[in-house]
Amino acid sequence: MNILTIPLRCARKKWLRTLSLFCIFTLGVASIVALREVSAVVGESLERKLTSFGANIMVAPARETLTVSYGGLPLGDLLLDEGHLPHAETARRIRSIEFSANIASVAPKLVTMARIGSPAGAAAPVAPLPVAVIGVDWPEELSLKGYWAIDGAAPKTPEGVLAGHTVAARLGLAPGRVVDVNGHAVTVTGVIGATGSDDDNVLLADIGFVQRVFNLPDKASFVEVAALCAGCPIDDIVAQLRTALPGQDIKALRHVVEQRMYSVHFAQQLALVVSLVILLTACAMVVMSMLSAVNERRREIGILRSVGFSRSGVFTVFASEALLVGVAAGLAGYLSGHGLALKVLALLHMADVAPPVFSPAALALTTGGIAAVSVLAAAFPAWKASRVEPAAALVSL
Amino acid sequence: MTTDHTANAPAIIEARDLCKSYPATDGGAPAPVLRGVSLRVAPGEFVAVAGRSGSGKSTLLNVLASLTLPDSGTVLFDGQDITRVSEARRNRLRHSDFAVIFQAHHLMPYLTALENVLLPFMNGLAPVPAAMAEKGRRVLDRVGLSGKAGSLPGALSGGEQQRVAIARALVRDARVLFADEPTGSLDTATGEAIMELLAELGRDGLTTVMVTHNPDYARRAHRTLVMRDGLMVDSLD
Ligand SMILES: Nc1ncnc2c1ncn2[C@@H]1O[C@H](COP(=O)(O)OP(=O)(O)OP(=O)(O)O)[C@@H](O)[C@H]1O
Ligand SMILES: [Mg+2]
Repeated sequence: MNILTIPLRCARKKWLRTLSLFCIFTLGVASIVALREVSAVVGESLERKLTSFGANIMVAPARETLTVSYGGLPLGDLLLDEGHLPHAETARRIRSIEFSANIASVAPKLVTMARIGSPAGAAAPVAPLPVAVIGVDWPEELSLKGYWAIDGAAPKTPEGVLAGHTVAARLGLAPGRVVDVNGHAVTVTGVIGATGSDDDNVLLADIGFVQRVFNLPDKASFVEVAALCAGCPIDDIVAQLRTALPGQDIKALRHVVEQRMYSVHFAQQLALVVSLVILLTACAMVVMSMLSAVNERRREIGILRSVGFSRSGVFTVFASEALLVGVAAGLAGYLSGHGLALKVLALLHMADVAPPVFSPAALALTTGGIAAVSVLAAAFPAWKASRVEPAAALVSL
Repeated sequence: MTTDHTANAPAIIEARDLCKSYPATDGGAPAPVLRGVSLRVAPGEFVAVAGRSGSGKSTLLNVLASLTLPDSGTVLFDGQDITRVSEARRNRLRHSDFAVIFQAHHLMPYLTALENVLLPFMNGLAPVPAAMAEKGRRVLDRVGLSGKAGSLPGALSGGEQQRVAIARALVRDARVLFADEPTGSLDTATGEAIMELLAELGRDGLTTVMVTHNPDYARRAHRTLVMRDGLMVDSLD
């Protein structure tokens, strides 16, 4: 039997009021927790989906070029190094930085040139044209180029190639046609619909095949990287890549990053705003309910004051009632919110991202936070209650 | 009944020139309720306060019991002016020295009779000491409520509720009991029993100031003070 007996007994006697307050608060907490967890997962999933619209970091060999002219005659740019990266080692190093979990795709490219003639059976054969043949890592490349509309299919074997829209039109390439690349016969498995980018003007082949055919073992011209920036800033990832790949030129494609983070943050901020509105509503309910409770119970306040309870004692009685409801609602709200998030995510088929895990720390934090919020909400009415002069409190019915 | 036999004894409660007015509800001038009331109560005295309805009896009692402050004038308790002490001191006075009982509704509705008796000792996180709980049971026995310790006020009769309030005064060994029409909401027989209990406590030496309309009850006090229009007058009308 101590001061807490009073709010406990009151909560039990007025169980309907306590229960409805508890339910309102639990509902508020549950929706906030569910919203937060769902939005975090949806944000991550959204970013992963956005990754299929291209890379946001470029790794290239540091090149020093010198523009040479002699006697007033421009002689073009002189490349001072060979301009290639070691393919396997670069990919491995990119994948092993501290933030490797944020690396979604590592897509190497090997750029070569070849003279390609029209395939056998072309409707209007043309003379062989110089065409860029790009070696790519198919699974990685396709994960970055989710927007490609392929007529045909992506190659399943090293001897298959995809043709860019313009190249295919000029040479009369179509799925199933066989062309000669540096003395090796390859089959066009698909033609990429017009993209408006460099991809329209090239043939894309397996990087291993290109390395072999052009005698460039383990070489890559540059590597495109798609990094997820929700968890950490792009600058940190770039800095780690610079450490892992000394001497290489690493650039973040800022506009891509910003654009992507804007979408992700928008989704998350929306969830945050909705959460805040819910929280404020729940707080207003607590304030209103406490205010009416305090007015209803002025006589009780008078009794407490008449037997010597201090103002802080009266404050404690009312605030601890709110604390009690806050703690109970925090616990129940977090657990049901977490359960709700798992259900919603299962319904949304967000299988590509790990579901939110139950964490006792988050439970404690949520409960503590909600308890603090409800005590704060009750603080004003409780303070008001404690200000009442004993005699004035006693006369009111 | 005279006022003389206590005039020279050291007073436990002494009020001088108490004035108090309440702000008028319709925005007019404040209506004076106490207009210079002085009185002395000697230790162990049983004083009744009588007077017409609205004459200011309850207001006087609240000022004496430190439940409200007068606009001017002083209240001395054991010679100390308790209208000019800290809030903490006033809390201690209400906790340890003064006990008040009213016409009705002075029990916490969701606490048992025993918890209501022990309410003054629940003012903190420290649990009520077992010895105090034991004393609470004893005073409940004393006021004739053995077996009702676990009952909620709603399950007690008006007279029993009044006994709980009296037990709450006894458990603290309060030095002054202020009672505002303690029998006002009770039937004659029950009121008579409560009066008998108060008179018995008075004989045991508990200083009591009791507001009552009932001349029979007033006659049981050592003396009767009469209020009229915010002033103390000597005799009944
Ligand atoms: N809190 C208050 N605010 C405004 N006026 C008040 C307040 N309390 C009492 N009054 C007024 O003060 C006057 C005296 O009231 P008080 O309660 O002291 O009289 P009383 O002698 O106890 O009357 P009764 O015998 O009816 O209980 C009354 O006119 C009453 O209306
Ligand atoms: Mg009165």
